[in-house]
Amino acid sequence: MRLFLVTAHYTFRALFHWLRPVPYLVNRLLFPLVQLTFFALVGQYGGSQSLSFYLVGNAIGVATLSTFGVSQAVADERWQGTLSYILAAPAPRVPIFFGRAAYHVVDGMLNMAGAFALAILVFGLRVPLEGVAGLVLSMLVATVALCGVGLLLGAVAYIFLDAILLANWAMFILLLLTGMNIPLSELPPFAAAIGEALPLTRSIAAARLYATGAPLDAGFALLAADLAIGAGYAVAGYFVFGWLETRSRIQGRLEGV
Amino acid sequence: MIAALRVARAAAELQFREVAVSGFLLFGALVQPFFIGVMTMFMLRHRPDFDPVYVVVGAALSGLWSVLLFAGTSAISHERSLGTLELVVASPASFFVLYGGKIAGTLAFSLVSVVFSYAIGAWLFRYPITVADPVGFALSLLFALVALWATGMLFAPLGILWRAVGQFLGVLEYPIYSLSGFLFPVLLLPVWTLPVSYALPPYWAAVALHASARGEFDLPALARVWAVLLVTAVLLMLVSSRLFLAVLYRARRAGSLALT
Repeated sequence: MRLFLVTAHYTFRALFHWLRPVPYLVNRLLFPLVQLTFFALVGQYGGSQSLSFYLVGNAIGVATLSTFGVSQAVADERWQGTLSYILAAPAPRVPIFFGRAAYHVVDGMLNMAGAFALAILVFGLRVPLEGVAGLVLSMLVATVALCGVGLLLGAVAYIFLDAILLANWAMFILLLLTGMNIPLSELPPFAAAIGEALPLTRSIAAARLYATGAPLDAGFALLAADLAIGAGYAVAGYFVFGWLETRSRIQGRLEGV
Repeated sequence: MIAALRVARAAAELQFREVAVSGFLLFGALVQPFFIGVMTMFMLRHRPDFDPVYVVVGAALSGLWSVLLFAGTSAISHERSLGTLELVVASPASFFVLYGGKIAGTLAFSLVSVVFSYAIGAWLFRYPITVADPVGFALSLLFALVALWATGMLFAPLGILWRAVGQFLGVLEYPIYSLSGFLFPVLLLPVWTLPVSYALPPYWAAVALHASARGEFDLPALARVWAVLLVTAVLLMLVSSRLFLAVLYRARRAGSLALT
């Protein structure tokens, strides 16, 4: 547990270059808000769905930024020269690997809270009181599930090198295919099928239910499925990381390249 | 003059070669306009007055802007990280002309997003993509590129002179898409933001390109927009030339050519 907490703490602080407030505010608070505003306004102009469809979808979609932070953790270890120390350390891998995502879950929740505050205060989104608990639960599941994607991307970044590029790909795929901005029924069947296999799709659907005042149990099945998909990505990431670690030890390339 | 043009051309060519193999800028020029174009095509196609040319032009502008923003804001700092800024600062060639060439090289590369956005509309969605006023569109693109180049020239020294400003510039991607009306009319925004839109060269670039692509403006109306693009470009050039001088002065006065 101590290892888990230490990993979580330092990887998060290092990501923002020892937590200077400006990079954090710009990357994690301002950027998602301007992205939400843009897509909400395009959606409003298109007029095929209600404004709340785009506001709720994109406010939950802010969680995609969690994939950036988590996946960048491995890349940053390499640039800061600490990756080889981690690979050589006798510490158990489970807390080290999953610890990278811990703070990002909390941070993702804060970002989404900011996005919902903007949607409510600026765009006039109305959330019934009975839907608030469900909405918070959807936010939690969305960010946990996307941290799973971030862990997989972080593992792949061990050989791909450019974690930011990977996370950008992931972000746009999620924007397009999870129903955040386009209902899955409008996408071609193959694209909708990919969307069904992505985390976030069901969290967004559940959040839209709760935003209309649905009872808490109405979205449980959706959220449980999203959680399972996110866990699948995280476990896949763990095994990919383990495989790459073993390979780099055998080949004597502790920097992964 | 010829010597300056030679420097600018060499810098543009080198910059073009560099950005053409940069994964991040290729993403900005090709992948991001692809996703934005596809998404907005789906989001806007239910409008009764839907025109795919509008989305194609908007997506192309988003690619142009993203590449310019990232390459422009990091132009000097990238040189510093490569360890070549000292040589550039100490060189007798004009600092302003050299970066002018670099930004021009970046813009030339970003034109692939225009071609790619056309392909999204014409090939992926199989819409008939016809530019109503091809000559007006070509001239609008030329004036737009001049104004965007001047904007990039303003961004390059800003991030070096004021680092906090440089960090905020990176977030200007979506706000400029919105304030410039790339993919929806700026009238959807609050009234108080309109003066900000009118002050932005990308807004006038979008007006000229959208209007000429759809044949909405006659020649005098287009000429007025081109004049605004030229005036804003000249104003930005005047400001940016002062800022480049300030960067050079700081580098030489402090004795730290790398501006560290």
